[in-house]
Amino acid sequence: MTARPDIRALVAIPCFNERANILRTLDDLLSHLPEGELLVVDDGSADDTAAVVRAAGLPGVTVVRHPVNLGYGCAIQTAAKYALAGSYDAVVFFDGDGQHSGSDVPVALALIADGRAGVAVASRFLGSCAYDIPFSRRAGMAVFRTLLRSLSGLRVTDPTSGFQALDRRAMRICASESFSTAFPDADMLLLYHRAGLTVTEFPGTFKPRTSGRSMHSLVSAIHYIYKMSISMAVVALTPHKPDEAG
Amino acid sequence: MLSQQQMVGALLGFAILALIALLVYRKKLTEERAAIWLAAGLLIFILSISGALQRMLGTLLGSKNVPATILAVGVLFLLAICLDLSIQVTRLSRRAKNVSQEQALLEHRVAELENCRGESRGAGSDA
Repeated sequence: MTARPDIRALVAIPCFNERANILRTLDDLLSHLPEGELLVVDDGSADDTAAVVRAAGLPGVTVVRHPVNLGYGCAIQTAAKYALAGSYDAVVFFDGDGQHSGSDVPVALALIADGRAGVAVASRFLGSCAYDIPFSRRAGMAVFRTLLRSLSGLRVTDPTSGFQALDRRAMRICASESFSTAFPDADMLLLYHRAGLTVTEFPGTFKPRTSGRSMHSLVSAIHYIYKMSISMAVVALTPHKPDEAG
Repeated sequence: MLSQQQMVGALLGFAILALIALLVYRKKLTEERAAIWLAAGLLIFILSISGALQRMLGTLLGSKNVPATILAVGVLFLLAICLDLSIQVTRLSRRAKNVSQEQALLEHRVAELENCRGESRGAGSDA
């Protein structure tokens, strides 16, 4: 990675049915990281997302495709497993729908490289967000932000941000069975924090989707709240395992 | 002498045991998965023919009606079976996820190795 030659980083782009957005997302990343190593994790898309990326033949871009749709959490876990096997020092999770900005990746990696963060999280509230966040989502964020703070003392403004950079210790947790693959958000930040990793936020630039449909719906919102509440309680009650982070 | 209700209960228990044995014999059910069903069939059979056990469970559950006692025990067993199946589904889902992830990573690795082989063959023919 040219931005931080002292660490070897992988930018992982989990995507599902992102044929219309994926090349724009990759162009954005490559314009900021011309020698970057990018991994597209196609989560069993019904469209030809993987084929479009392969056909483009972009330099430094690798495609891994799940045979079936496993979910966002599984896609980022696959990326963490790939990064661990490839001896990368850091992995950045970057959404394939074009909502994140490639210019923020070097900022995240700088935090990891300097040891200021084991987990660096982009926050739309510290940076900018070019679209209106629905009230229900804002309310959910506020609830889990408060829960996170009361359970661990961890102050995070954007607990649902998918733009995260992990160091190798965090990668090991992400690749382990402790990692919650259904909507990994605040519960995982709590898990990283309890494993002794420093969770640090930085200002992120969030853009609206240009096409396609978000994975967030009413049913998934209810599922999200249910799952997150249970998962956070489990993480909070599980004895701390420092060896897990290696 | 067994009452009609006891006979029906005993036959039901026996039928469950026979069905499970048949499914295991035909390899449609593993011995491991059959255990809880065999226990359910056995309990229904014993409960149907043992008046003492019926009275004991009836007192425990606050029921003086024998069929209601057997039904309550059956419902408890069904709950246990549902819970067991949920645990199995969770375990299998996790395994399926891991297998899918491994397959995706291996597929990529195979493609990489095939590319390398193609390149080395190309280099060999050039030379």
